[in-house]
Amino acid sequence: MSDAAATSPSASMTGWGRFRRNRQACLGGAFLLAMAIASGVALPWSLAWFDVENLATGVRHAPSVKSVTPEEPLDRAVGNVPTALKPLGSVMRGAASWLGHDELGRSLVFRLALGLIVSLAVAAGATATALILGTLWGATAGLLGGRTDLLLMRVVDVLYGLPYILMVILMKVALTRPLTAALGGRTRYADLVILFLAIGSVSWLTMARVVRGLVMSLRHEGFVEASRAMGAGPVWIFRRHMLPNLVGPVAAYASLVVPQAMLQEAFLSFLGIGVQPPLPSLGRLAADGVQAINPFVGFWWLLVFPCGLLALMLVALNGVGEGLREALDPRSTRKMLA
Amino acid sequence: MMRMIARRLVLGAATLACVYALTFLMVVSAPGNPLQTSERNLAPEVAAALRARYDMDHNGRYFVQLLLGILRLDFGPTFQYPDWTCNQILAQSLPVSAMLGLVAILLAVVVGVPLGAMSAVRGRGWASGLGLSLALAGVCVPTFVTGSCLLLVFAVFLRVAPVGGWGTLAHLPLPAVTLALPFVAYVTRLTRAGMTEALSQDYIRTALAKGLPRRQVVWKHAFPVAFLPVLTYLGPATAQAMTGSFVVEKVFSVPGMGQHFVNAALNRDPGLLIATVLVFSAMVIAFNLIVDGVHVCVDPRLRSRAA
Repeated sequence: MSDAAATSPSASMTGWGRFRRNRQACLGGAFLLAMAIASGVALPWSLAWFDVENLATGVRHAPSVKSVTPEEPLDRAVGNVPTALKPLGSVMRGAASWLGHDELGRSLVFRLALGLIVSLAVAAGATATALILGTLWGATAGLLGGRTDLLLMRVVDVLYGLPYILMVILMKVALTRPLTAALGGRTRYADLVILFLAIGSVSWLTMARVVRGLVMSLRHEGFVEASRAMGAGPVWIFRRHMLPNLVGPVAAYASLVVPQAMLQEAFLSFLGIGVQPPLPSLGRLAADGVQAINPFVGFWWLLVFPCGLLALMLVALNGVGEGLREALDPRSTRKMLA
Repeated sequence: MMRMIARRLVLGAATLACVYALTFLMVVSAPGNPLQTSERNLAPEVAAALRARYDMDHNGRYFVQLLLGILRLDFGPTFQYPDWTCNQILAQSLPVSAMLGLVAILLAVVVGVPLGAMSAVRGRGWASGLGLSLALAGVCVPTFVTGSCLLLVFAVFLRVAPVGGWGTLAHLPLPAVTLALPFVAYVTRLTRAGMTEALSQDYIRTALAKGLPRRQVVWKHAFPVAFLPVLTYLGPATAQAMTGSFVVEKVFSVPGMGQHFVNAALNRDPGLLIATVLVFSAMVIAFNLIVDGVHVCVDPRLRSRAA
C-alpha cells in the first residue's frame, strides 16, 4: 500500500514530463489558458455589454448604423454594409469595435468573450456529468461483475444503438420544466444547466466502457486480491486501491470529451435548441455568422471570427487532450477505444 | 459461421425490440405532442377524434398497435404531414440519404486510408502534414461551417455547382464532401495509428531483416493489420452516413432522412420518430454484421476460429 503511494507521485512526475515535452499539447494549453484568463478578466464588461444594441447611449461620435434599421428600403440596406459595423468601425470607441458589430450593433468582442465562457462552461459541465455517470456506471459493472455487469453493459449497448440527437432533444424537453421550476424561474441559467446535462447524459457511454475495462483489469492485480483476502469490501477496494489508479486514464479520456461537447453544443445551436438568445456561445455565434453571410450582405467578420475562435479552441483542446492521454495513459484506453 | 450469423440476427432483433420500447417510452413520456403545435390549430373535437383514432389516450394499446404494424413493415401515419404515411416518407427520403452517405463513406476510405497510411510510413513530410491538418479540420470545424463555406465559394462565387437541391449528378459533390469530412478525419487518424503500431511489430522487423522490399512489407504485411480498426469503425459510420445528416440536408436543401429525424424528435411525432430510429438501428446492426463478416474473411486468426 505504502509502495503504491510512494510510486504514484513519481509516476505523475514522469507524466508531467512527457506532457511538457509534447509541443502541441503545451502550445494548446498556453492558448487555452490565455483565452480563459482574457475572457475571465473581460467578464464584467462583456456581461454588461453583450446585449446592448446600437450602443447609442455610450457613443459620442454619431453612430451610423441607421442603414440597417427596418425603416430603410431593403435593397439599400443589403447593398452596402455600414462601415460603422465593420471591424475597427466606430459604433463604439476602443476595444469594443475591434472585431466589428453584428446587425444589431452589438459588439462582437464582448459577445465572443462571453460566448467563450458560456461554451467552456457548458462543455465542462457536460464533461463532469459524463464523468460522474460513466465512472459510477462502469465501476459498478466492473466491480460486481457477473449478471449485474452483463445487464449494465447491455443497457450501454442499447443506448449506443440510439442516435444521440434523439436523446439530447428528448432529454432537453423532459428536463426543461422541472429544472426551470427548481431554479426559481431563472430561465437563462436553467437553460445552460439543461444543455450541459443533456449533452453530458449522452457522452457517458464510452466513459462507462473505459472505466469498466480498467476496473476489470485492476481486479486481478495482486494488491487488490491481497486486500480482498484480508476481508475488504468492494467499496473499500474501489476507494482505496482502484480510484488512485483510475484517475490518470479517466482524466485523459475526459479531456477529450470537452471538445466533443463543445462541438455538440455548436450543433444544437445550429438546430436552434442550444444556448438561447440573447446569450451567446461560440457555436451560437458561428451559426448566426452562417446566416449573416450570403451573396447580398457580406458580414464576413461575423462568420470568420467566431468560427476561427471555435476552431482554435477545439484544436487546442484536442492537443491538450491527446497530450494528457499520451502522458497519463500510454496504452490502456487507446486499445479499448479502437 | 451460419450459427454465428443466426445468433447475431436473434441478438439484433432483441436489440431492435429494446430500441423500440425505449424510443416509445421516451417520446410518450416527454411533454407535448404533435396535436398541440400552434401551426395545426386543431378544433377540440378534431383533436379528440385523432386521439381516439390512434389510441393516444391508451399508451399500452398504442404501443401494441404500432408494434403489430411495424412487424408487417407498416410504420403507420405521421402527424406532421397529414397526407403522408411514414412508409411513403421513408421510401422517398431513404434512397437519397443512402446514396449521399455511400458516396461520402467511399470518399472517406479513398482519401483517408492512403493519407493515414502514407503519413505513418513517411513520418514527417507533406503527406503527414496534410493528413494531420485534414484530420484536425474534420474534428475542429462544425459541419455547418464547412458546408456553408463550400456553398459560398463553389456555388455563389465560382458558380460551378448548383446552390442546392437534388436530382442531377451536379448536386452530389458539395454535400458529399461536406458529409465526408468528419469521416475522412477519423479514418485518417485510425489508419495512421494502426499503421504506426503495425510497423513497430516484430514480424515487420523480421520481414525487413530477411530482405523483402520495403514496399511489399508495408502494404502486404503491415497494412492488412492496420486496416482492421478502420473496418470496425466503418460499420456504424456507414449506417450513420446513410441515414442522413440534418446539417448537410439543411445547408444544401437535400430531401434526405436526417431532417425528418430531427423534426420528428422536436415535434414529438411518435410514428415518424420510431420509424426513423428503427431504420437507423437496423442499419447499425446490419452493417456491424457485414463488417464482422468481412473481418472473418480478412483476418486469418478469425477464419480458423469460425471454421
